[in-house]
Amino acid sequence: MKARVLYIKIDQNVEVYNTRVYMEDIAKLYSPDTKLVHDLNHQLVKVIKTNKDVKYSFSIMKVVEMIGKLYPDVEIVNLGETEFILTYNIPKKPNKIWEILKTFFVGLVVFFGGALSIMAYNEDASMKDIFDKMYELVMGSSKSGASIVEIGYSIGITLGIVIFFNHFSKFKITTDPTPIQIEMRKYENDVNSTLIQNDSREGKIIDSN
Amino acid sequence: MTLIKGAFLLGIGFSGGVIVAAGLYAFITLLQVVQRLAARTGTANQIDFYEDSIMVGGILGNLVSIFEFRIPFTILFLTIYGFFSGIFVGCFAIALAEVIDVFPAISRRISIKMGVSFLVLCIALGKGVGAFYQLVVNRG
Repeated sequence: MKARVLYIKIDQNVEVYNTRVYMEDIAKLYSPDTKLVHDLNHQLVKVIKTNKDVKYSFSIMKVVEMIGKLYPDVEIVNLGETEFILTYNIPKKPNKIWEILKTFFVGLVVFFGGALSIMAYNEDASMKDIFDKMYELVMGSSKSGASIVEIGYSIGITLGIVIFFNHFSKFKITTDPTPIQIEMRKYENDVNSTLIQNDSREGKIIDSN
Repeated sequence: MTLIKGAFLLGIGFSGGVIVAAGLYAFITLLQVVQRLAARTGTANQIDFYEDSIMVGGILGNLVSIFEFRIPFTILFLTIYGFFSGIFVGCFAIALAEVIDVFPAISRRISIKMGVSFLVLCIALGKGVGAFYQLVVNRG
């Protein structure tokens, strides 16, 4: 009999909302044998015995072992992560007002922070003196108050920011994700890999044997 | 002739602005201040709104500091401005230290095994007290 092949793919961070975690909640399976996939999908992987939000580090070895016990003749090919995080969130209704408040709060912080940092830069680099000097060099006479250089600078600042962030509100310059979206993903990946590595250092990964 | 000179000045100002804005905002993005705030509050799906906020903030802040507009809201505005920009600078300062791995390096050198959260509290208090002393008590 020809060995059956099972392809398995698990993401780095798997979120579940039920205490009984089945294979289909964490992994994507594919096999030419559809009955095998169907049965495995309804295989219980872990029962979470806690009533608060938790994270478990899992090794693919545990999953392989589990499948190997049930179907010794299946050849398993892993196409996903070797270690992954199982995050259990208590199912709860998102509190809309709290979410809006938090968003509003962070919005205010970054709004005033952005204002302060550009003001601090302008002061620190003595932009006013530079513009006065520039005006004198070009026009041959000194000026009082704001002039054409400052207007150009302000337009430049505005455009520079919009170009850097690649969008303003709904308007997008290109289809690339924005710099902060990219950094957000990087940050989340860093958090995941740190959790996995911390747990493997302390031997907390749920591994086979 | 005056027109050409004016156009020249406009060009210089414009190019300077583009580069300064891109540089400053690249720096803020590199320090991951916005990302952290979004991650801590669990509102990573609102990133677009945060980007709009920081952009409008930068644009208006620049206008105020260059053209020295009068801002009409007095003490209430000052309180809000101080509080929120303080939070931002707090994140900024720590993030800056973290980028160059100050804390991992120090805790490895003197092999701290525990109490890291206490140290973080101390740093925060130290920064707060230092800022208060410098800006409120001993101005000069």
